[in-house]
Amino acid sequence: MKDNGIKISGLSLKLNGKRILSDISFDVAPGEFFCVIGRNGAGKSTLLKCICGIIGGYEGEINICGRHAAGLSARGRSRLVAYVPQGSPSDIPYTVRDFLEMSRYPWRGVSSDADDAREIAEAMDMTGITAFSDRRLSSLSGGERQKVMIASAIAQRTDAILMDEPTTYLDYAHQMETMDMMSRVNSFRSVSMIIVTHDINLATELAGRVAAMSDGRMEWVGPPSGLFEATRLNGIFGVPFRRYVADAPGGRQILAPERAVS
Amino acid sequence: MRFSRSVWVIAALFAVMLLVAAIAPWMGVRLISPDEIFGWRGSTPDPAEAKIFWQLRVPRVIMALCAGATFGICGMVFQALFRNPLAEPSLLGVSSGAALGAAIAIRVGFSAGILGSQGVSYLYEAVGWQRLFGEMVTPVFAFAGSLLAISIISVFSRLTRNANDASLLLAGVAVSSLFSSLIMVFQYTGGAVETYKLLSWTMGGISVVGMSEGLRALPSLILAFAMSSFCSTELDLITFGDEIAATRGVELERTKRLLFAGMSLSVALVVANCGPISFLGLIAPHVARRFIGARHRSLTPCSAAIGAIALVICDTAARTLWAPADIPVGIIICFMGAPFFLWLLFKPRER
Repeated sequence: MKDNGIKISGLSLKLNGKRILSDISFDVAPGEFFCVIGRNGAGKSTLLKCICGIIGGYEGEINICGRHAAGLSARGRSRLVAYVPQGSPSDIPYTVRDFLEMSRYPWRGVSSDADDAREIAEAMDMTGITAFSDRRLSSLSGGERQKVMIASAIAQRTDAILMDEPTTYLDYAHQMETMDMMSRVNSFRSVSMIIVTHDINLATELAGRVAAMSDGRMEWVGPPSGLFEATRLNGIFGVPFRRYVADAPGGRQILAPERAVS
Repeated sequence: MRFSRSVWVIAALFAVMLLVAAIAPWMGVRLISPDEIFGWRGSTPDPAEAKIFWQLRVPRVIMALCAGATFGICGMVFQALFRNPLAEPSLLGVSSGAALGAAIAIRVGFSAGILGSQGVSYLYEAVGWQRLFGEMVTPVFAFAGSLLAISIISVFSRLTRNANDASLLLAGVAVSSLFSSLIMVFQYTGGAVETYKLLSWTMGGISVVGMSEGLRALPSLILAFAMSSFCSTELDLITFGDEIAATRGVELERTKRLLFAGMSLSVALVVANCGPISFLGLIAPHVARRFIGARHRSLTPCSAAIGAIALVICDTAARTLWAPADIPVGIIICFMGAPFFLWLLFKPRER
């Protein structure tokens, strides 16, 4: 089988003398849905930025599709990995279509205009943004803009998509839509996903495996069912969690933090 | 359809630019009519008028075209690179570096004139250096001054690794202010003639004699236009921020350094010849964006055309409004530009 997953071994990072990541190792298989959870400042976002090449100068090794990430050009890397940042600039005067055309930049000279147009149309279709493709990004709501950011990552046609808290600033309807989009891209195109999130229930519902980080270390990696184990989340977040079971056939389980009542 | 609209806008702007450029040289202290130059309608061409037309007015319009277009493009690129709508060449120390160079040249030129012995100036005259040196010395010093400013800023950005755009911009402002204070020392301590010459140079003005001088800004224009056209998608992506640009495949460090160096060189060459004409680099790209949107592929020719049109019109005004006085075009640009820009900002947007 072709070696096109993401392998991280012994990743450590210091910024201005402060240790941000220490000795992180994990593999993400092709087509796997991988969630990273943890407290604020645990190093989750930094980990994503190392993988997609925004931050360099780390120790250890990041392997993307069998190639050392450090040896890849920006263009080469962006053909393999797409990145959806947390929040997005809002004062941008470009139209949605302009932006999606730009996300074909890594393939310039390789893919034909017809291919580009098809990829863009598909990405718009998958994210349901075709209706406002000629509007300016600055005129969109936060939820619409997030869809455009995801569409842009899809149009980039990579083997993996990394997202930094994709649902954090969204209302419930947009959260559900975003989760649908992520699972669609993951299952239809078998794109590997690495999603950093605070939303435990997103992780339990979509992820194949979950990793928990604290203080720049990988504390635990396992199947989402592991999150339901007694003190697992308490250990990660320092807050007791309680499990709720939906009052419906099938009984989906939800995890929610408990407020300590004195 | 979208594409054809931008082509149409660009074509219209270039037509306006050519029209303005075709009309401008006939205007001046005295209106020259085509009959006097080409001998149409039975009149005999006047050699004196022809000399004024071909040696002074046409080169001056060409210089204004090239310089205006260069300022427009460089302003656009700086605004994208620094992700700041206020960025313009004169903010980044390039102009004040050039002004400092010019100040030194003017000061040294005068001192040499006063101190230099009769023999030296005879020697100059004999070799023809006097003329050559006299004409070239101010632009050469100005160019050296802006190179100095650029290198200080580049060294600074290299020393502080991960220097972000805001700190680079602030470094430019600091260098600018440092150089301005030195210029003020020259102005304050100089004689009346010297100070006047320096002051009028720092206001920005176009004065060229002969076609070869008129073409001096052309290399700047070619460099700026070629670089920003070649990097138009990179500029688009950089507008979205470093993270988006880097993860969409832009070699950020290299691209930014290359564009910064190229644009600074272009501006330096123009400023060396015309003085620091401020405001044009700020305003031209903003007007162009209103016409054609933000994509740099079509924004580049648009900013260039608008910069060129504005500078040719203002320069024509500069030499006709108070004729026979020829006031620095920088004054006109600011005087006409500021209200226009305010109107543009507060005008309700249609969308």
